[in-house]
Amino acid sequence: MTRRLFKEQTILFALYGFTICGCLVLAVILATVFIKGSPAISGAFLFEESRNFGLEGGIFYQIVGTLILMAGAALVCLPVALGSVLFQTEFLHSPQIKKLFRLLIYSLNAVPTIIFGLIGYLFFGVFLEAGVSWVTGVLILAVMILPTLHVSIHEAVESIPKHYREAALALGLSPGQQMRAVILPQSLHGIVTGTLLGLARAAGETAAIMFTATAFSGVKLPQSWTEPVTTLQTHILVLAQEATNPLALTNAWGAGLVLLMIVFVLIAVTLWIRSGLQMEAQR
Amino acid sequence: MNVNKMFPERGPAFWWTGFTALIASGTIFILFVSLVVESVPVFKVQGVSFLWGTDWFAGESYGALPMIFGSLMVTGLAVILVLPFALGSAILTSEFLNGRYRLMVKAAMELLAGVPGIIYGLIGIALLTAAVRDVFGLIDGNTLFTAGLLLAVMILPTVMTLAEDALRAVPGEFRDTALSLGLTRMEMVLKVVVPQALPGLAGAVFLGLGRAMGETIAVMLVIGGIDRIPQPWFDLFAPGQSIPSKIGREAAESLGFDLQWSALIALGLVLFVMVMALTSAGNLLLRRAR
Amino acid sequence: MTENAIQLEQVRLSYSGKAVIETASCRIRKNAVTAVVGPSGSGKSTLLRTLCRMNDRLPGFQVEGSVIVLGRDIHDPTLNVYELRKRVGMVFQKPCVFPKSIVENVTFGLKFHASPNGKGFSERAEQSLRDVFLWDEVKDRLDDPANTLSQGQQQRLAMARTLAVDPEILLMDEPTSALDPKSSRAIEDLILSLKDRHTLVLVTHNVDQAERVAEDLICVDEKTICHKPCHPLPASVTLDPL
Repeated sequence: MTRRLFKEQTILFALYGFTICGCLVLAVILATVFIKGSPAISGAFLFEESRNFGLEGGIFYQIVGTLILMAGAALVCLPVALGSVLFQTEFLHSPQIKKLFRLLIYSLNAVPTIIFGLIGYLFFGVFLEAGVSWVTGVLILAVMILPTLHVSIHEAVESIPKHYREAALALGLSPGQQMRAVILPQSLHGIVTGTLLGLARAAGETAAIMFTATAFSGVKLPQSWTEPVTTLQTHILVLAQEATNPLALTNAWGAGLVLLMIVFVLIAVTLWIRSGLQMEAQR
Repeated sequence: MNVNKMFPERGPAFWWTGFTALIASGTIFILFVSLVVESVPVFKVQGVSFLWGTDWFAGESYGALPMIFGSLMVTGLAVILVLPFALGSAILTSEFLNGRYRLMVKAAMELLAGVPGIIYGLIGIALLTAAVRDVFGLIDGNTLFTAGLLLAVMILPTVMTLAEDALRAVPGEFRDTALSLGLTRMEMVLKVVVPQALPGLAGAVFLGLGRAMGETIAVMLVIGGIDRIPQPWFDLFAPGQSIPSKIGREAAESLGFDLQWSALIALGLVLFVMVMALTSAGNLLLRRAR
Repeated sequence: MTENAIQLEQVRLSYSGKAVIETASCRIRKNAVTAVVGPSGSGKSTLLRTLCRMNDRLPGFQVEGSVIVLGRDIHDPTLNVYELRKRVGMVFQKPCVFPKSIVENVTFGLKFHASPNGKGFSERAEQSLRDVFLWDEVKDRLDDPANTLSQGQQQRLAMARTLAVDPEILLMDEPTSALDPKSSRAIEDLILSLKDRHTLVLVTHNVDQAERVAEDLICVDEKTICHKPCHPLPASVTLDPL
């Protein structure tokens, strides 16, 4: 019997060991970014343009570029995601087709991002003649974050209580009116959290935009549809490859910290909205 | 198929949502068909030997084997490294931590799952490569092992979260029954809960594999970038190349229609097929677990 | 002459500060069938689960007063709770079989308590299956998956699994509520056949069932419990209608 309890304690100890090690590694990563990145952060760093190939100056246009791409992607993606969810929930009745639809969206979610870059460039860059430009980047990212938005909105729409819909039906509302009167207001939290997660995903993406939407230096705000932007992600990428130069590395860490903060704030707000909803549901 | 019967009400809302749904569901086909069509030229020139050729010299010959090998190696290594940590923390969180701590761990994991790949890449190139070089006494720290290690850390939150969900999905009755028979808590977990959650746990690992295999940016910065199968093949401390890192390195210089572009797309096709196989298996297992 | 298997003195059960049972004092005789009846939500399942400390897993659950089972206070810190659960078996509402073969299910709990060489497992399994009148139905397919059995058979299998560990007390939480009338009858016959060797405590919302199988009756209502001799069932006891 004591052997049995000893075994129990040993395994529990090992579980704690693995968990603590795992958490520690992740904590070290975050701490590293904070410690290495915070010396670079200053008002000038955030609001000046970069000079001397990123070794000097700030990251203002990089931040703007990242914001343009993620906001543009979310803006393009939202109506498509919303529409496809509504079609799935309001017009599709066959469970098989619904299942197939779900499968397709899940598959899209699994596609490696670099493939979005390759094929996205072919479609938007070559066929639409947008070239290496911020428009190409926005469209590629919009496709990439489509599953994120779709799944989140779909969950919200599915969880609308049945009697709300029935009330709308009983009033004789057409599908379009139902959507506006009941479904959209009732699934607003899903639309918001989905969009925030999509923004976070777009902000964190590098591979899909590095050869399709960005240029490294000498780029400010795009003046036309076919001009590239510069972004935090690709800025870090280029500086990181000069890892032997301490100046480059410091600025890379600084840009990394800013990028991480953007992503974390978006995800934290999502978690906060969701936990608030859970509490409401428990009441 | 009778459209009138399937969709009796066809107002403007129907057409708008239908159009967007077509985009959403058609994208995956467009991706696949484009990959196939665009990779035709290289298969025409090289034949299927593209898949097992070992030499890649732009303009001369294109052999994908070193990249396929590198992808399999780093992904496999990442999963082996991540398994004890992801499953251990998933079991501890789902079975031994109470509500508040559990939610805290879950929230932290969700936050960490969002850390951009480029951040991991930066840590890899600035710190990890040097650490691997010094610890293992290598000349260069850019190796398959480094890439695998970095990937393991990257997929830890994803695999842990999914595995924890799978464990939580095991009905409480099984736990009650096991305890009522006089099993200890750990015996209950290991002999009843884990076997019951096995399809879900496997699904979590498969999805993690799929994610690791497609990761580009972090791997690209630390893998070494040499299109060669190490000698001997199991030498993890040699530089190598994975499919995404190869595409990431060369896409910018060959944006266009020559053979190198086609070869890169063909690599993308190979990656697409492998990732889809892993993810489909993972999703299938997860669905069966529910 | 009767001995008490279970004795409750001024027991209060609460969940996050809210009382499930305000006061409970009662005795349960050895080698007899005691039925616990009361309206749904009255806390009878919680009371039953307390007897083998199945509520340990619930955060915020608290027991006050003394619960003596087989001569020992079950909240004594030196008590081995796994040993307690071995001596006090429990069968639940819904039949719960593990996704293993029939015979593996029967010997499942046994493996953790018997000596590791595993001798005599098949004999014990056969005996347990005979005890629940399942042997003749399954003896030719012991290695089939257990979930191929009917619901009623699964519930009897669950009982065989508990009996294989050889408990002195058998707690049953509405064991027939998920079953059809015929299978319920089989379980009731089984309960009657077990009372010579075991102390049985049965939670049920079915008064007729309590009357058929139980010698003692405990009513749980208004968060308190009262003890009533069972045969004949007192006319004053009002229970939730079925």
